[in-house]
Amino acid sequence: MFIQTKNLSKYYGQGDNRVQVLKNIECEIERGEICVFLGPSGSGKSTFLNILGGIEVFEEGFVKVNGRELNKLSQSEISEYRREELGFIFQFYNLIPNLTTKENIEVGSYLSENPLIIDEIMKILGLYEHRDKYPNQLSGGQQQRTGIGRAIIKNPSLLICDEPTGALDYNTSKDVLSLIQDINKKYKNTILIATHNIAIANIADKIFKLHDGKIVRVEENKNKISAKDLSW
Amino acid sequence: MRNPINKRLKRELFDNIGRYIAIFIVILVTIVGISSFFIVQKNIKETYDLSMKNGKVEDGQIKFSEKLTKKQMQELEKEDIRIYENHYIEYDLKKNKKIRVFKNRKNINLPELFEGRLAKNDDEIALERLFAKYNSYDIGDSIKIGKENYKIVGIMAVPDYPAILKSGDGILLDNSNYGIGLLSDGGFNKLDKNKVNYQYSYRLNKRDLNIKEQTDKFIELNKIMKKNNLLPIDGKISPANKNITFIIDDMDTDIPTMYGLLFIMMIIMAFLFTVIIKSTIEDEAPMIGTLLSMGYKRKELIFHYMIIPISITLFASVIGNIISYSFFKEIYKEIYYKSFSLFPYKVSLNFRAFFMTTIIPIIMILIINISSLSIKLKSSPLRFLRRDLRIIKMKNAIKLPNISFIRRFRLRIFLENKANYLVILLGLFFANSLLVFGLGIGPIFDTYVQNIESEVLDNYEYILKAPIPIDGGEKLTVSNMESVRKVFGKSVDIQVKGFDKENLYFKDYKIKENSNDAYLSTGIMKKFKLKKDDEFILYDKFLDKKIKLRIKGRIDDTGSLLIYMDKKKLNDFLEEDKNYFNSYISDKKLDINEEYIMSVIKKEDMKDIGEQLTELIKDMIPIIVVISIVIYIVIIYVLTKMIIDRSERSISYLQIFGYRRKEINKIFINVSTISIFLFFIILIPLENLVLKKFFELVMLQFNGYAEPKISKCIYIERLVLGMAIYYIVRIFNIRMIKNSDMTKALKDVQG
Repeated sequence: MFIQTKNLSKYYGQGDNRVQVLKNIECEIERGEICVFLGPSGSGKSTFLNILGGIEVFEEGFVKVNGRELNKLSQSEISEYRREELGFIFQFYNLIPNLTTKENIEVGSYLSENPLIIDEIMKILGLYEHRDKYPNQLSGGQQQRTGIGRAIIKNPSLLICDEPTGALDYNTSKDVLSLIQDINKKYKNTILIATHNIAIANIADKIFKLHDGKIVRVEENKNKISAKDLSW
Repeated sequence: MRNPINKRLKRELFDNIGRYIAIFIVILVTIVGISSFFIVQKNIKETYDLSMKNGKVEDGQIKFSEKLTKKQMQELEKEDIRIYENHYIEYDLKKNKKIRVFKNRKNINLPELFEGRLAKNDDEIALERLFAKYNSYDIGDSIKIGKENYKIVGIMAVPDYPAILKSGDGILLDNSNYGIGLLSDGGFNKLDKNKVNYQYSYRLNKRDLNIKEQTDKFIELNKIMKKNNLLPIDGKISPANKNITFIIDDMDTDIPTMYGLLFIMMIIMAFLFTVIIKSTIEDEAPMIGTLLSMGYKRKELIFHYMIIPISITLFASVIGNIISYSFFKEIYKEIYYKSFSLFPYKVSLNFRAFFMTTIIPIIMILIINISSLSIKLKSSPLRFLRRDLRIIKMKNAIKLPNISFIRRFRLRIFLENKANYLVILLGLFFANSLLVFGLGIGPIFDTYVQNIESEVLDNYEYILKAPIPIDGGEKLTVSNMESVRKVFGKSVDIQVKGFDKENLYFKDYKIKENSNDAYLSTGIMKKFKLKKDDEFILYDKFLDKKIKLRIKGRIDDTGSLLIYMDKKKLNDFLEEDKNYFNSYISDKKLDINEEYIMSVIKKEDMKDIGEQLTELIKDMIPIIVVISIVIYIVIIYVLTKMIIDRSERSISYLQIFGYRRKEINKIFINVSTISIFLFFIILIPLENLVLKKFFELVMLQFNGYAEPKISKCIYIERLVLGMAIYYIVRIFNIRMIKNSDMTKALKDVQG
């Protein structure tokens, strides 16, 4: 199993203010799957992805990703895990504002010993002609594609996408989701997508529904469709 | 209704308390240092002027070999003066000390008491303050003068001796070995009458005569004395009396320097605030865009962003002035009072100092920052919302060379923060210049002091009161004049020595008899950028005459301001007989009646003279070094921390992506390390140039010249100190990066 979690719990705050945001999460994800984590705001989906991404710590349970038990790793080992295994795509792109498009993608390629070819990736993403522009000179879709480029350039085994279309319009969202699907097909990486948009679940292999910190339902999606055919 | 956005100012202040405290401290230290100086300078001058006025200081003095009669005094008073007895007796005390005692003054040269009272009884004495201090005399102690014992009943100062010079007319301050005492009439009369010096001091009835007119008056007095068969053995007008004029001659030079320091510091602080405000605006661009679109006016925002800088500046200025008035001025005051016998210090409010160190800094901060803010806030609300605040719309980013990714990233950080680095550069330039000056002036003066012995041609140089023929020694005429050309607005005092061609000491100087040819010392040549065959004009303030000299060559010496010329020509200019002389040079002590000696300069004394000349400036060195270190710390800390703060989100992203701490430090820390190191190097030629000019200004404060050679070691010292300070700040910056919260960056995203 590529990703495994057991009795995973996460708390925020202390004493009387302590709140449990993840409650005994158990899930298993195969390598190469696209999994969508559905739920309203505050359901714990971003927190869960952050834990799998090694950005947040957890108090109880067990998390294993590609053979690494995250609870047994030191801080520097967690950092190496992110460096070697992960790519992140964020809702608000989180590009480095004083680097160009190409340089933002290079931020990702620098971390890999065998990165993909940057010019090729830029062409695939339709960014080649914008390579010398700063992020604030790009549209939202172009910025998100830059974020995708940065994430995939190092060919990560796991791609974590937190509301990747949350800040985009309908058509651009479909384009971005289409790209994510193509990446999965081409590079066979495991992709986790957190979203509140139920329509996006249709591109997933597996759908996890979260509510109030718990996985309330897990579904295998036997009727996967292309992102181009999505509508909401 | 108060603008609600102003409520966030408290949080802005406390969230960045370190930065604002650092700026507050720099402004405070600057204001304290400069305000204290202005306060003391003015008060010292006022104290001195008041002592001259209230003490009814003499306008001149004449010494006779015997007491004048009332009739003789009345004859002299026909020349529109009032003349008074000012007899004194000089005694040797233990351990090579001397004391000059007078009767209590009633009409002229009136003393001012620090403690106690004047002598009433015949066994009492009031002692001059510095002599008492350095010889541990207190009220109630006893002092033996001749065969008599006197009880000290008062500690005082007199206006005719603010500077107590060795042998009375020398050029060496010696207030620990030479004292002044005031006795009652009976107390004075007890002493050996054979030792009495019949000195008379006079005051002019007309109070507004210039130096030339005073000199003319003195010449008229001399004529009257001659007519009445009165032969003075000594005499001078007060402007020629070094005891009176020593302190005041060069006080004004420091003031423009301090103003310059203040302006530079305030410009740097203003730019520092500008950089901070600019960074805040960029961070808060969407908020500003929102406010502008809601209808907030730009001037409301300008006012909002100016509150913190103005408050900090005002607070620092007021506190700085309070500290200056309350205790810091004592440091500057002590520098003067430990060397000069001034009247008790009177503090008066120096509104000009308060204005200069409060209103001017605020005005500068206001002007520079309002101008910058007005430009920055000109952008449309939409551009603010999009964080597109570039004033000049650039199509694309600057193309960087094909170097490694990390290096390119570092360059981008540098370019993004170029305003910060510019202010660092300015701040380093200023702090470096101060530090190099502080570290460098000591060795320059030490070299000057070591070399100064060579200024004296032989072991003894006598300056006489009259041309006394004796056996031995070489004759010359010595006169003190000043340059007509000014350096930094000030004339330079120059000593002129006239000699005959037969004079053994001047064999190497070929000057035609009766010509205007002259040899000038290196110091003069360099101060005025002169060369051979140039003309140089001197001015004698007592004769109110000028003399034009032609430069024949250079005197081979180090630090003096000397001119050699033909004696006959000099005598002619001085309206003396062609054979006149007033000085002897000799390798051994000459047998000259002390009565005729104005001063003796011994080669062995020259070192002390040099040290004394440089002492006042050397006392300022620790203050200068401290100010420069404070500037280093604040500029480097505030600005490098700001760069890290601005990059906080980017740093978090890199941590999320798996960048190692070393890699992150290579980008965000090393950019400053490399930049600051390079700044230290590239600033050297500019600092060298500026310091040379600055040294010239400082050199005006004493009548000498010291080659402004700054040793390379000093530049290395400044680099080491500056980088050491930076590395301490660097530790804090690295810790900041280490402690940054990755998830906070994700939560704070504004899009």
